[in-house]
Amino acid sequence: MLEYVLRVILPSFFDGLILGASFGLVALGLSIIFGITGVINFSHGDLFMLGSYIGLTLLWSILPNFWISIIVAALVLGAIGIMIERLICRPLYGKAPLLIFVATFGLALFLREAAKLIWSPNPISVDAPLIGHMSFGVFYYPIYRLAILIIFSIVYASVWFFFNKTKYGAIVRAATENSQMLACLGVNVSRVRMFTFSLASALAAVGGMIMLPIASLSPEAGALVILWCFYIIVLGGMGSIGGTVLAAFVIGEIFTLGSVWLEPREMEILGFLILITVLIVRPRGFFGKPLLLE
Amino acid sequence: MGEISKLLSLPRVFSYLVPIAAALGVPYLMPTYYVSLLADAFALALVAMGVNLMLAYAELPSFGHAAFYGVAAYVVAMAFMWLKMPVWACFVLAVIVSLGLGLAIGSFSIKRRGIYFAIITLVSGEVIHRIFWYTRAVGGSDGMSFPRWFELRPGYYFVLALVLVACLLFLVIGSSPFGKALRAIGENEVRARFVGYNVELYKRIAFVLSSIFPALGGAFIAGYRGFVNPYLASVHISSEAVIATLIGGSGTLIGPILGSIFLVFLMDIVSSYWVGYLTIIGMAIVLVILFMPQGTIPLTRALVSPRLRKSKVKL
Repeated sequence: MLEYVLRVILPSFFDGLILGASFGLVALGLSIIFGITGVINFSHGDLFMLGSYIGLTLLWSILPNFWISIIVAALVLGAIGIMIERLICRPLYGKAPLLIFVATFGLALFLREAAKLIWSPNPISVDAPLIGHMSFGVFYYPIYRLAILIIFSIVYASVWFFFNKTKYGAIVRAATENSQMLACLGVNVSRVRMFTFSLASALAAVGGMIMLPIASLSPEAGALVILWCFYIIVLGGMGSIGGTVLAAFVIGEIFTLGSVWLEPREMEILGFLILITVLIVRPRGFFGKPLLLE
Repeated sequence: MGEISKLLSLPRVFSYLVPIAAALGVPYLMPTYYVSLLADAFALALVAMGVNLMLAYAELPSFGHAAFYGVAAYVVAMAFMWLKMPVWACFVLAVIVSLGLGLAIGSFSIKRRGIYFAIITLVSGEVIHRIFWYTRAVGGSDGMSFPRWFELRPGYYFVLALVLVACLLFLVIGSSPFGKALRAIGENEVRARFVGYNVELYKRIAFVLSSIFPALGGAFIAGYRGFVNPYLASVHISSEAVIATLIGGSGTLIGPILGSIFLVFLMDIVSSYWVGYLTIIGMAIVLVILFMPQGTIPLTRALVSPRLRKSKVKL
């Protein structure tokens, strides 16, 4: 029994943490952007995809090292996030949120198809920068995945630190509560929005790059990721950072722990059943705020 | 019913009859390829009209109406192949099942508004899509095929008739006391609630009614192509319907139809020139939203457009 837990369950549990953490980074960005601007960025999943492709291209051409290319990809995507916010979202603030949703849907289509033209529609996979396994008795786990777990812990800890312990994080949180009041207090809310978009895009790129050696990458990856992020957001409650992260880990664990006993399709249907149950029993998700008219 | 009689005044009647006559003449005037494209566009227009009903009257943007389209198509395929039901019975069954699904999805989705409603409907629609995708009994990702019901020309006239019926239904719903109450809710939910309307009930009924339109389209497209696959229920169709509605102009009767025709023809024409045509479609969507957020209605109004709402449509 103990051997089964160590040999089968524990590695799957860690895989679930990794999967949940990578979905969580994208969903977190989506959730923060929603909290601050009230819009859903449909192209966010494609930023995850684009970040991976840009990082990969840099890695194959000029950058010497996988870890450096993660950082550079995050910076590039941060800049792209600023462009998206300034060019597409900003003219549409104050109008219907649906318009930004549809405009970013168009952008997502553009990015996906452009990626197919530039990098070919075929999936690619990359070797892990760290090779080898670590074993404790029967427990056996790749070193790269352990490294990812540590990196994701650091990333999540910094995100938590940023939001809860720094002045800028407090401003961003204040913007999700009441951006008008914040503007009255003399904060440049427009710049806060731009910064948030940039941060969220960079987080998506980090998630994408880190997952490169584990999952294969194709231009369709963004569309898949964004759907999973929607499931996560619905499950966790819109605009709630804690709920989003929790839901991401729940989905990650359902997938990997479920795959120990179930086929992928059975697992996905099980995931849907859980989702629909949550929607019926608690339409606002785990930690969603109740609306005035709920 | 005052609005209906207003719609029957002579110039108004002309504004309907001219496009209807044009649509009737299409199979004799245009190459068959364009007739089949137009039939596809009309099927998409039916989905868009369902989206439009929710968007224009209840201010709820649905990204999941392809679920009804896909489910109706699959119901038709299953009823026709396995139960050997006659064509009309397949249609009736498809609409009934779709109404039931509308009741189910509507029961939790209408509790939320705005973009959250969009995401809940999107997720629900995608769940339906994946269930078809994974069910081997209905062919999995390959779908099912069966003998076609219509040749090109009868199929075209059939879907045209469906669109006209849907237009009538849309007008009747819009001018009924129910439709007026729904618009009041869409404009100011708090006030409508204080006046004493059962807001949730109205929205739920609207959602169920809006599922009829894509159900008709889905039932048609299954019989017309003799082929169904999970793509029919996917977010691609749902979002095409929303985009067609926005391009044409939501809140109008003819907007979703013109938008669908525009979108289907645009995709077809651009795709014949370049493999990467979807980049152009994506950019076109962005540009339309940025520069024509009211849709192309300011343009199409110059042609024909019986406006249902005088006020600016607020999404």
